[in-house]
Amino acid sequence: MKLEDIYRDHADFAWRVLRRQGVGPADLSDAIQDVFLTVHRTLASFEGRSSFKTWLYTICASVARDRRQRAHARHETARLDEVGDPIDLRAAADARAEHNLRLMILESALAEMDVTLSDVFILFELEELTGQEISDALSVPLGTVYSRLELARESFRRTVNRIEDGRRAPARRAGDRA
Amino acid sequence: MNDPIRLLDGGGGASARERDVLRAGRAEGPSPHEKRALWTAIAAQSALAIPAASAQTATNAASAGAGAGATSAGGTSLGVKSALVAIALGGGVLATARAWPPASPPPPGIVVASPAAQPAPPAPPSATLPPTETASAPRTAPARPARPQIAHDLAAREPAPSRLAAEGRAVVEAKRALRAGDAASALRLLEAADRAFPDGALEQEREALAIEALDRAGQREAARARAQAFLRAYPTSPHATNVRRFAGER
Repeated sequence: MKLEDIYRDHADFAWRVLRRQGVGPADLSDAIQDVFLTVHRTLASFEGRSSFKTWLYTICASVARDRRQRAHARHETARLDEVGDPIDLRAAADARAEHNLRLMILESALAEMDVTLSDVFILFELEELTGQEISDALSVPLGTVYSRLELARESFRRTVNRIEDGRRAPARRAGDRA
Repeated sequence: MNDPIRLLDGGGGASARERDVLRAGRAEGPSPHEKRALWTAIAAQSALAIPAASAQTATNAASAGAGAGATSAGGTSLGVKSALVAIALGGGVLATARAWPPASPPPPGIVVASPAAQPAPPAPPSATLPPTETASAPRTAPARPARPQIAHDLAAREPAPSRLAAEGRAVVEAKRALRAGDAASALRLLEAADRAFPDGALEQEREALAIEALDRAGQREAARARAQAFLRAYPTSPHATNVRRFAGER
């Protein structure tokens, strides 16, 4: 396998895994490079005992953990201008707004799950890993993957419906005049 | 045992709104420009790494497993990495690569100051730009030598859908930080969003999130006081159930 092919096929996956594991926008570029340079150096050790995606996931998770710890050690301050992308947003503001609101709902739904559930939900529903791949990546039995997925789906449905219902009938401030 | 059918493939009886939310999550990723720039940097470093790393080093890293390997990759040549990406981006900026430079001049009221055009001293902060933001600007300067600095008062003048998008993005980032166990970052993001979007449409989301972040950061009393205020202001909010957990109501 050539590194370039691996990167082409899996850069988006790595990007999303890193983001969802708390690597901030300011650190993302370095973190992605860490991931693929690690792949480059350790590819020979990949023995196919798990799927390639599973292996890549464990590298991403490890890099994300490392990045978070270092960001914490630097007492890094979050900056709003590293978050938004107002110039790009102007291009199709309505579509971007809708997209970001959906992402926000997704993040709300994930945040309300126990992390053991959201990990399974993300890998199965969003990243399309198989149950067996998730079982390998998270070192839990396949049956546990399925039961967590079931609970995660219920939680996801509850949150999405609650937020969407709330949006359609926005709660009025108690002090607002009619 | 067979895997269940994914929600986006018609499994689980997912509603249209659930599928829309999932599709947004799947569509995330780097822009093509970012992707190319990152590849240029990775390719350059991997080419350097092959002859430099002896067979022994490679074997050690491999046998130590992905975790140790990742750490050592992270510890090397940070400066090289940042510089390479900056070069590959050709003076552009990761986050704004797709639309920079803008096809048309920015509409009036939008303040874009490029540090590349004004190397020193830093542009004076605008009236609405909090001093803490400018003070921290040079921290990671080498990583983003040509990043356009966009004044925060931009947010107040942007058309409404774009402001909503930017505000939504800030909330997403705060949620991610909180989910990653970084309540302090979440709080800072939310405070910045409060300043940028004082009358934002997502005020409830931000406040509910701030309450949770305060609690996680160990500021229980502050969380309790704000939770009680939230419940008084928005008794029927979709977030009320969650906020109640922090209000100390039995």
